[in-house]
Amino acid sequence: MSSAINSLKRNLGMGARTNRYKIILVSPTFQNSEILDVMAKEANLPGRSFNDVEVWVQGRLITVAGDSDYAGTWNITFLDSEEHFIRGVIQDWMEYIDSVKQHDRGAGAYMDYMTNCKFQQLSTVDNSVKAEYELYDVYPKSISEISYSDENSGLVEFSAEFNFSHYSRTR
Amino acid sequence: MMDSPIEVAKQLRWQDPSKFSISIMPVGSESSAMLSSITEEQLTSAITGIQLAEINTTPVEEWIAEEWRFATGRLEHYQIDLTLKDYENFTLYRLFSKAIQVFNRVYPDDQKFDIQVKTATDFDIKSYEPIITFKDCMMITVAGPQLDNSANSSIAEFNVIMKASYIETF
Repeated sequence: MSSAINSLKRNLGMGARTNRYKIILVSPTFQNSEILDVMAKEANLPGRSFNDVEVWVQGRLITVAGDSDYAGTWNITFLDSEEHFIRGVIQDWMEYIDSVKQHDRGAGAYMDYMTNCKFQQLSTVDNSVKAEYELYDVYPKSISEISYSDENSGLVEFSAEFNFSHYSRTR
Repeated sequence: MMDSPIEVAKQLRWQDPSKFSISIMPVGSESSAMLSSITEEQLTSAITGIQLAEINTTPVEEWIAEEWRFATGRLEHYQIDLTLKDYENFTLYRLFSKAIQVFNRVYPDDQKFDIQVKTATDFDIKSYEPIITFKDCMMITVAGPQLDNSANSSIAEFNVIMKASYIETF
């Protein structure tokens, strides 16, 4: 066997699987993150980039790093129960932030409705946590529509977008 | 051998226009102390931008002995334009509005304040150094913020225009 293949096997190990993940989504109005994790069908780990600063000198371009940009949102697709329990949890969080019906805001400060959440990569072997990222200042930005159809017998699902300020690797 | 301009450009610490802070310092009077109730941290958080003064002169121009003779003439006054985003029921707008009305009724010496601007450069974004102080400032305009029912999801902003007697550069 070539050394390249051996090296690949050694460095890849079991390989990180996209279906081995855990989200720890903490809402100020609902603390049981296990239920939200179980009902999550898809999730992403957001990206990070630098904005470019262009320095032109005599027609030559030097690009240097500007400030970090965590553009994008943390997106999670949830399955839901017949009672729309999960959608209710996210809607309660949104209602806590800004209630149109009551025409008020439930939180006294921004940090009251923002939470820190986690995204974990789990082991293929024993589901232990192999990598963990903490997302800071998380709150729901939107929940998607749910499409219904007589021609479709699938489960109800919807996606939620969460804003966050930044994230860091914690494990 | 000299470095090429490109190599020099990689070594220079370029100035980011967003890395700045300002502070307002009263010049020994009770009235101008009103403005020092805003801390440097609050002001730096609330400021959207500051247009530093253009330094203008009125040049002296004379046609003497068949030649033009020029000299840098009178330095014109220095105008600074602050754009502030407001908080807690227009705390800043109320403060600046109250101050400009009080200043209208006190001696010029009692309404003076200094504005110091500090900046940080790339690679040193935590060390802010004073670059310029506008000395003996007076307020000339507190522009009214616009209240608008259709402008949700935004932060109210307003402008304050000041003039300085002279500047101290560091």
